Amino acid sequence: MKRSVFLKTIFVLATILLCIIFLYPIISYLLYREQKIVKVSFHPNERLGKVNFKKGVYLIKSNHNWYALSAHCTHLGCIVNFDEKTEKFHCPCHGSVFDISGKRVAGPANRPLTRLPLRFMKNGDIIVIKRD
Amino acid sequence: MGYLRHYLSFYLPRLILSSFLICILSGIFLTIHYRPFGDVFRCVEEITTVIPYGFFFRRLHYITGQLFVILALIHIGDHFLRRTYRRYRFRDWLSLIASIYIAFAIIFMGFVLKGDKEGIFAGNIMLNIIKGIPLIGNSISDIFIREGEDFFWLPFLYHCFILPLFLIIFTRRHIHNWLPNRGFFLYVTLFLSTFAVFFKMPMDIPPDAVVPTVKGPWFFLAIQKCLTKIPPLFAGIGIPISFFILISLISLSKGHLEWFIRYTILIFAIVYGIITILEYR
Repeated sequence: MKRSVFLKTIFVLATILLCIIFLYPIISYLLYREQKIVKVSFHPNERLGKVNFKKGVYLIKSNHNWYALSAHCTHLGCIVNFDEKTEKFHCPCHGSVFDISGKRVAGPANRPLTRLPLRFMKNGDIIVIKRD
Repeated sequence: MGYLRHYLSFYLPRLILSSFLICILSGIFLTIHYRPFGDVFRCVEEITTVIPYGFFFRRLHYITGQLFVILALIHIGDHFLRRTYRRYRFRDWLSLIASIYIAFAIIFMGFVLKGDKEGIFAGNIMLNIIKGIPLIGNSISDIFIREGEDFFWLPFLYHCFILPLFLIIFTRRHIHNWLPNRGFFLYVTLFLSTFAVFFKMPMDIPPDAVVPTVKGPWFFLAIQKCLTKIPPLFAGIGIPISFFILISLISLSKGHLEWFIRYTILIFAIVYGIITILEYR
């Protein structure tokens, strides 16, 4: 290998390395994100119906059990509406439909509504935990 | 016909520039009272209904923003039909096409910043479309919009500072004089201000309201329709990027290839326009 070619290669490699050294902190800075856990609390007065909505969460009563669904459509994240007549969730953006258990019935979404964990408090509140 | 061509070539660019400058000025007034945190919808409604003349600045900002992109589209269409893209160097043509995309991105971010149901949903849709990009989607979505308390912060930065700056940088070779005719600018300002007083803006939907359908901004309606039929990655990213590549390549192409690209763009634009009109009704 000629000396000039060798020096050129070293120069190019050093430039790439320098770019990476400068880019890495920039990308790390831009992509940093703190994972937040949001707790949505349902007081007994806030869950009088079969299906109750608060802050992007549906809390649903099934027989004597409770379960929670994220109200965000699994297609593109719009908040779904609950239709009491048909007992189905409808997405107002692109028309996906889910049944009361969150299972996809129709539309472009291909996953069911996300089930969220619950915590039963001593004071009677039910807390739904979701990640932001 | 000659008069129309003269109008398009002479007055249209001046009208576009005037709209852009008035849009920036009215935007500066809105920024003083706008807060991208907390109850953003309430803040927007306060600007519109409580703060003296807030409604006027909001309407003027809306009208001039819409006018700017619509007239810019007509300007591009005029040059496209007259084949003047042949005169441009590829780099310059690419900058101009990028600038119209940036203009649409600014309007889209403005739509999100309304903070009403439509705005929040538009932001969520954008976030999820970006997240759908394989491998990098989840990471790069954080650069554009984030869930939670600071949902409106990044769109605010993009709408007010980052994207307008890029727009100015990309159009700096094209626009030689930002204020070529002060008298014309004053008359346009006067006319649009009067129009803003009587203009009725589309209603804002409160974030908690239950509505059967939610629509995005007018230029997004065709993509919104496509999103119901085809995967988000193709509808939300594939279609705009394909159109960008096609319209960029036309300045490099010649002969049969140019003819092919030209008619593909025309058919695409007509179909997109028809879907938009049908969805808007």
